[in-house]
Amino acid sequence: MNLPCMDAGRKIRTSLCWMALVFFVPLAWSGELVFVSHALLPSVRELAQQTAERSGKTVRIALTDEALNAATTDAVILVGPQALAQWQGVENIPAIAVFVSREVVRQSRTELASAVYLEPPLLRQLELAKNIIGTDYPFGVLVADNEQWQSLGIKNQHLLVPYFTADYPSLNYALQDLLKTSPALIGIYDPQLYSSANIKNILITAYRHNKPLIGPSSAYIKAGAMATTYSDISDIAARLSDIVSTGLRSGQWPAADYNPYFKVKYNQQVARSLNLLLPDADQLAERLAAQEKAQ
Amino acid sequence: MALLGPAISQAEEFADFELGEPFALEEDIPVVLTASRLKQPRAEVPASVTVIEAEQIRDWGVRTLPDLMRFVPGMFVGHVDDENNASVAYHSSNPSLMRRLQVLVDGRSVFRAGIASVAWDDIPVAMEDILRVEVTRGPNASTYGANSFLGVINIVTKHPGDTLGTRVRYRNGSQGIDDSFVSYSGQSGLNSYRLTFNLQADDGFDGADTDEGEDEFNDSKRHGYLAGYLSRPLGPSTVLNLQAGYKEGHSDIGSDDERFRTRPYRDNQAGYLWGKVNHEFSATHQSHLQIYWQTDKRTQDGYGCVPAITLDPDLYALYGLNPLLTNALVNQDDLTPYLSSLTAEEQALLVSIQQTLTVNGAAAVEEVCGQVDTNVTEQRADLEWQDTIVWSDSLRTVSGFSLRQDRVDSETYFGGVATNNTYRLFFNVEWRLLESLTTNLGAMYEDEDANNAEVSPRVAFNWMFMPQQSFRLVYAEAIRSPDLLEQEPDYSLTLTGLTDNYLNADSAKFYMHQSISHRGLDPERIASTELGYYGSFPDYRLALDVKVYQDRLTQLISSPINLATTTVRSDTRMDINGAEMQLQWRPGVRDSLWMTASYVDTDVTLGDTSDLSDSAIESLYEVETRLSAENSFVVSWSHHGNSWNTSVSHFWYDAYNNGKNAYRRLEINGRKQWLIHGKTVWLGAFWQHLIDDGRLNYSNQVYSEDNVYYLQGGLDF
Repeated sequence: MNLPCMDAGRKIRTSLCWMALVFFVPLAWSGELVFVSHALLPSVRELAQQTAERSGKTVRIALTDEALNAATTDAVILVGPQALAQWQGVENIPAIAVFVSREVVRQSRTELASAVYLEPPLLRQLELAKNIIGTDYPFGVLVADNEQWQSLGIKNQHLLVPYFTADYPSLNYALQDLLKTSPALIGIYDPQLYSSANIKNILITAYRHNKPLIGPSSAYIKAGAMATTYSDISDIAARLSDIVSTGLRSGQWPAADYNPYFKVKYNQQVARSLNLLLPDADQLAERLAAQEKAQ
Repeated sequence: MALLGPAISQAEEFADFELGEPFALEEDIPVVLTASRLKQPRAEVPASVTVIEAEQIRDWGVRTLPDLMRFVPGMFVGHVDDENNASVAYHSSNPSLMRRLQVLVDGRSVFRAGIASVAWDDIPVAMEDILRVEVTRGPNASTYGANSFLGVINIVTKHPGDTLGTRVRYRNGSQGIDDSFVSYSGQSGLNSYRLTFNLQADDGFDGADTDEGEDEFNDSKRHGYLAGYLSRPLGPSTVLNLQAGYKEGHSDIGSDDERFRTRPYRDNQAGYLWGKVNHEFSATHQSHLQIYWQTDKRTQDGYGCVPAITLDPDLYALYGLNPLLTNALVNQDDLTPYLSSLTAEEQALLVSIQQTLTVNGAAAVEEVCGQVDTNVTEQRADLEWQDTIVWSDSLRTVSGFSLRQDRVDSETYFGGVATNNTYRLFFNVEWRLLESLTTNLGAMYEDEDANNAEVSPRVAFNWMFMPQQSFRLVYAEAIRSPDLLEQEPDYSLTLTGLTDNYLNADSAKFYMHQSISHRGLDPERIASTELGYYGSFPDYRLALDVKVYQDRLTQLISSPINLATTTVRSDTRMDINGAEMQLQWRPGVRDSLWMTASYVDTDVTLGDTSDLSDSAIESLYEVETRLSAENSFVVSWSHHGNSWNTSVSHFWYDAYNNGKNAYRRLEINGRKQWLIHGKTVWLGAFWQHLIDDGRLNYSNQVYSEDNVYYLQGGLDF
């Protein structure tokens, strides 16, 4: 094997090499992928780079206020909710949103060719919980009200029981009821419910009952959530490459959806204190992914 | 932009990065330390522990703490008639005293140190408010200090934020059972509070040879209290918990002393204030400061009649010099054995008493009656600071100190006020030597006014040979420090409002007394070695704990601590060997099984018995072992339906009471609940059936019927 970019001994040489890839490799299509974000962030650069690597396309990063040329742009990747909100739309440029939640996409008026939701789907979190805790008891989910629950589109899932905070005098009453019967709390992606202000209260209450929080995202693991599935930048790049390849080749863009590529993350210390034995994270992620594919 | 700011500095941690504003980023989410320092995993706990959860308490229908202890392997429950108090002991102990187990409520010791005992009825905790009871089976002085001797019962109450709303319960049944409970918990922001009122009453045992359905034993009780709990965050990493309570109670006391009916009842008023501040300096460092104050006033009036001469000051003085001679004189026994070694002072007093007897004739032995009280007020102030540091993944320490003052005020027992200050330093190191091998090293140093300084160490190794299975080897020492009444008694009975007597006295002291500046008793010691196994099998929903042990108890004080006792020694030795197991199994979602078994083999060696009668020696031999059964087996099965549950428990104790008794009992408890307009209404019934015609330990500790039952109902909203 003697690939041009594999002698990564020196950093400068490697960067030059990447530039070469970015500018000279694309031969299949004329245009480039433009990653639009509201700030020049390392994470956006990382995503662009990894997408280029996987899809073999030329990539470029632009700020939200930059005007784009439809002739040279194959597709625009709107990174984050700010980019999505500010996107005015350019004729003949398909837009794909990433780093945005399902709710943000649902409420957005922008016409999108596709999107990769930021959060893990609730059913995936449920499968994770089942694999760690078992299927003896249904798992409780805190949601604001029935409307929010309906919007999650969960049907015929007897192992998930919603507790509507609107039905209780306060969040704690709802949580108390939930923890009485549920072996764990499964967190949904709701920035208001799982705000910095609420999370401490939720975690402390759950641990007083010796019951873990599963999810809502990897950011909560350090805080004290026990386990979650999540998609990191390489997973997003992988999904994005799939979308771009399919869309550009066939003109049929995959519908906006959750990311099928994901990993499993644990807080081992929490699991240990709860006397829970955790399955291997990588194997479990593979198993869950295979399960999803089969359905 | 500001929101994304921290992410830039964390560029290398892309794996965690999420751009979903306004969803919180990792940096914004407080790390909840409680989660990361929750508890040691069961397989790594350096002791034998039985944990009873709120659900089990409810399932079993248990209404008192001592009854709950029957579900703990190796734990035995008896009764002290003189105090009308349950006596609970682990492995073997004297059933007449409740002083070798430490009992804590949320970290507050309810062990009374002035006159060592735990008065179960005085513990202001409703069963409904208990989150769990953690019983450390074995000495644990290195963590909890002196008197954590045979074991430690740690009662953890529910956080007020977990009992939100109102709970009401009423219970009524046979044997005078009449219990009420009302509790309200509220929350405002992150502050939560609870107020609980609880009233508990029953008629106690019925007494020996009582006709069926009759109760002739004077041991009814009625105790009530109001307790409050407030939890309030003082800052992002500081929490203040406050508790306060006031209690009043009345216990009738069946006394068999015909001269002094000093214990026909006991009234008690008690209160406490408790505060604890937890502060988290960082994810790896946290401290708490705990301060509490508690007081307990016990009023016991009585009426007694004695021969006038026993109130004579000369007889009192002679007893102080030579109690055996004085008892012989009063009992009109032969004095010859004592006469040869009399001092001049004793001789003079003896002559004077004999003259009094001659001069006053019949008036000297005429019965004189008067009031006797044995009131005691105890107070304790305690301050404890504890610091926990996680040095690395493999090293964690807990250290701290505490200061305590115990103060007892009693004319009867101490001729006024007695105080005792205790100073303690403690540390425990948890060190993971290998991935699968943990060691815990700990010690408590304590010094108190009434006793010498002592160090109680503990060493434990836990070998996790499988992820959730371990073997443990534990060696622990502990002491029980002699209480003030054992060590520094000024114990006498004053009769007041006397009927006419030759002394022309309105009040006088009964001749028997103990006035000793310091007995110099050694502390009771225990050195316990155990080899244990813990295994959890989640696939089978089964957890098993087995241990074999060897307890060496020395310098035990077996002598009864009452007015007539002439010598108190700390020289009894007990060697206890045995094994016990505990199994919890959930064969299905709706069923659970709790099973414990225990084998206890106790060998008592008495110390100096030269001045004791044969019957006294015999009773000393028996007293330390009569509470325990050599073999015991407890099994309980619970089933949960959709809105109902039931449980059946069977208790079996073999060769109880020194082989004299077998004790079997069956309990069935059931409960059904309805959800009506968001309120939970429930009804329940409990039935206890004594299979054998057995008494507990002593003859009066028996019901005149084989069945005890109660009905109860409640409302949660």
